[in-house]
Amino acid sequence: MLGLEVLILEQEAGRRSDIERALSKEGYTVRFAQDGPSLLAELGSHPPHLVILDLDLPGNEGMALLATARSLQPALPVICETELPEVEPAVEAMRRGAYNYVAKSGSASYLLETISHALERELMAVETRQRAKERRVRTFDDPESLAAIDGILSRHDYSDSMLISYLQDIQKDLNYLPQDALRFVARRLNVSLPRVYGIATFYKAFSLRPRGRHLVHVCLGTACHVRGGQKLLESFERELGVPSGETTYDDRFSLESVRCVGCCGLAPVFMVDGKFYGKMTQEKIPEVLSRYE
Amino acid sequence: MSKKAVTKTRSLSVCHGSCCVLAGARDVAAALKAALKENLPGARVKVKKGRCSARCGGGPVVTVEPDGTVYTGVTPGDAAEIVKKHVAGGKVVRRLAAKAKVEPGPIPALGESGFFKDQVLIAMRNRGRIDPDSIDDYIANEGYLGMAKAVTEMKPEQIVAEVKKAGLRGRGGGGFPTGLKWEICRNSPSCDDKYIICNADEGDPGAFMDRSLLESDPHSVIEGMIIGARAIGATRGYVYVREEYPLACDRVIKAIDDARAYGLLGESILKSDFSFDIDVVRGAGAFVCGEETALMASIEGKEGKPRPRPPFPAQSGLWGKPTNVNNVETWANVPPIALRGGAWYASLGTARSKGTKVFSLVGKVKNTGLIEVPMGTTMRQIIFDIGGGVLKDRELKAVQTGGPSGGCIPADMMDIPVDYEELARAGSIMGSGGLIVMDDETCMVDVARYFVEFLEDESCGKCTPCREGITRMREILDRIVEGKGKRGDIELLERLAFTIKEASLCGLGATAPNPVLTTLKYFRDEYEAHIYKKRCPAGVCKALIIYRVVAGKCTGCQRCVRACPVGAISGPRSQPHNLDQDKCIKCGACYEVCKFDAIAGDAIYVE
Repeated sequence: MLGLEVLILEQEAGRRSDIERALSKEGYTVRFAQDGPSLLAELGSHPPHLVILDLDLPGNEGMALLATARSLQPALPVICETELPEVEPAVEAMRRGAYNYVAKSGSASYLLETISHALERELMAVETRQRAKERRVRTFDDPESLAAIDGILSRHDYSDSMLISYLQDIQKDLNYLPQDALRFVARRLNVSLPRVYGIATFYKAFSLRPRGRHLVHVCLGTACHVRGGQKLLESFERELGVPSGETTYDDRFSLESVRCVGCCGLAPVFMVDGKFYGKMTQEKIPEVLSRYE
Repeated sequence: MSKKAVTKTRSLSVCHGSCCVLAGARDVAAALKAALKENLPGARVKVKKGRCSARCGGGPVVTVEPDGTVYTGVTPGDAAEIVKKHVAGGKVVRRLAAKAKVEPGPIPALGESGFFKDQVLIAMRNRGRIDPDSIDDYIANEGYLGMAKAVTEMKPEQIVAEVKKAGLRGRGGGGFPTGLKWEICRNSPSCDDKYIICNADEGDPGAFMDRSLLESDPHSVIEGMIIGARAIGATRGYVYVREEYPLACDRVIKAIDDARAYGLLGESILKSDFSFDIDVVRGAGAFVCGEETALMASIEGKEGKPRPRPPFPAQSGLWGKPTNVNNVETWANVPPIALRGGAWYASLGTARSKGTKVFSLVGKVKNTGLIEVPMGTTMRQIIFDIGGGVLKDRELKAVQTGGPSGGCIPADMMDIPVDYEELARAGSIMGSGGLIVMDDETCMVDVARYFVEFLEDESCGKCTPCREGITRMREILDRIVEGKGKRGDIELLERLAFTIKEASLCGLGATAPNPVLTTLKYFRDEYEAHIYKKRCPAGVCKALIIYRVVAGKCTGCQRCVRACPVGAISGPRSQPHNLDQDKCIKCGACYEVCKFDAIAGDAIYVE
């Protein structure tokens, strides 16, 4: 548990030293805040990994602090302590985003267990974010990638009027338009980056983020709309657990909506990787998705 | 020597939709195969796995092709009878036959079914008849004759005159007279280059005639463009295809290559002094690119944003050169006009709208598909004679025409003849020809909101009335469908609509309020029901409905229990189910699967 910092606001000196002893033994670094304002200041300057907050502060200050702390650091786990545990404040604390609500009279081991659970979850979330970040920042400025992009640009003699076409071809190869590619295109065609960026964001076909292995397009054309296309889309959102426009965590599917694919006779329609599924109902979605790995 | 069995039947298609499989379709297929082997050895009849025939309640379903007889509730024991009586004897097994075909197949013998008999095909003259990838097929069907006539026998002025005489008007939505457009471009100060463009950025949701034309008859569009180029004096043409239509794109590219190989495109066409060639440009997903100045910006490799006119494209268009833009369907109409003359074309249609128009008949209608009828055909003929009426014989509420820029025409106006003027008089537009049929289960406020949201999404953001005005309208409509509408909302919508119409830069904004205005005009009561009674009469707007099980009708089949994504429905088999309102997310999955109307439209009520 080295390097994990716990910030504590506790008005009772006795309890303070109890907690300090228990936590230090486990290798946590313990810091104390004098009062509410200094706690909030600490959160801004040296954010800890976890906060233990005394809810028995005068004037119900604890609850207010809890809400403010959560709004400053939405991912920060806060454990609330109280002398007299009651249901109502417990519910209130949880509602305001507390990780847990414990009695000061409880055993030290219970508190330690709660802390380690909270931190475990926090670490997992950090790791998830980290991994997601790594995935997103795969670079494309190595000579090989750039040569491939250059090959695409050479197809139309580097003429900038074919910009849309280049970007379409690049996206076809790379599955999205990475920043490196856009920069290279601008440089190579001798046009401004904003112009390339403008094109890449104006047209719906382009994505600046990596997309999943399979692309689900739900048609929201008028015919599909009156025959329940919107419901299909919502059903996909539930099934995949991501809103329209996003990619599932395992990179398996990206979900997008599209305005009319011109198969109105089969409404409502969706497509997976360009394959059409017509006259669909919500019931059939799981089976279709199961065909794609 | 055994005599080879003779039969007209080519295949027995056994529906393999999930319902039919559950009902025993696999056994039926096996039994049919066995019966064929036993009774008609050597007959070339296939037993196919069919797609869901949408008669899921009556499975397993067997369709006999080519005559299209549908048998429902077939058991393995019936296989021998079907084979002996129908396949071998050519007689229908009445006992099993479903009632007369509800929806004629896509292509029965042309001219026979109700769907086809009232149609007049000009733009779609080759539909289903030719192989789109074969230029020879096209040529064998009068292909490139009109173009040959135009290039070798007619002067450019004559071509323009014929098109003017034909009274052809822009089929993409504007309805501007094509001949006049050509003449302006032709007469604009001569310079080295003029361009013509085929606008295949078919953005109107619910319209797909351009896609179909390009995919099934690309040469008719190319031929039209060559004739147009000859008339205008253009040297280069572009086909701007929507990126959502990859097949259309491939077909056109192939067709252009073929035409070039045959000497119909390129230098000195048909050994004349006329040279012309065509390139294909793929769009990248932007509705506003259907607007011609935006489209040209897109071809130039820029963001597809419209610009103010004048200067008109005919004076200064693509790369600052005189340019003529026409829609796919317009171009497809040109070859027959060149070949048969303008007077022939003008003999069809109404006083000011000549010829035929392709419509995509979709939505809650029995026969969906593309139809081509003379201008002036009434809406009633289109929906009921050709379309076969409303799906499930529900009540017709309205027909939406003209895409997001159009409007909704109510059921009591179905006798208006469909042409540019009459539709405009009804507050809508012809647009590209989408006809979306709506029944009593379609909420008009929701439809208006749908189009406004579409346009909000597609507004390029350049001018304020369109960008901000449409967003405000969407916010108000959101509020109304969520049951938070308030007094004055309708009036505010009307005021906003007026400003957006007057002050927007291009057609997108100027027509954007149409869906709201027409629904307000004809279906004001629905808006009022949403706002004042907090009720959605059509049972569409989630916030204003609740689903409930009708105990008397529920048979306890458990289908909705399985379909419900949140486990809100429970109940033992064979007893009426219980729907927990606290868990219900109103997704309608139960309603979709219920076979007994137990969770039904008539059961939806509002608290």
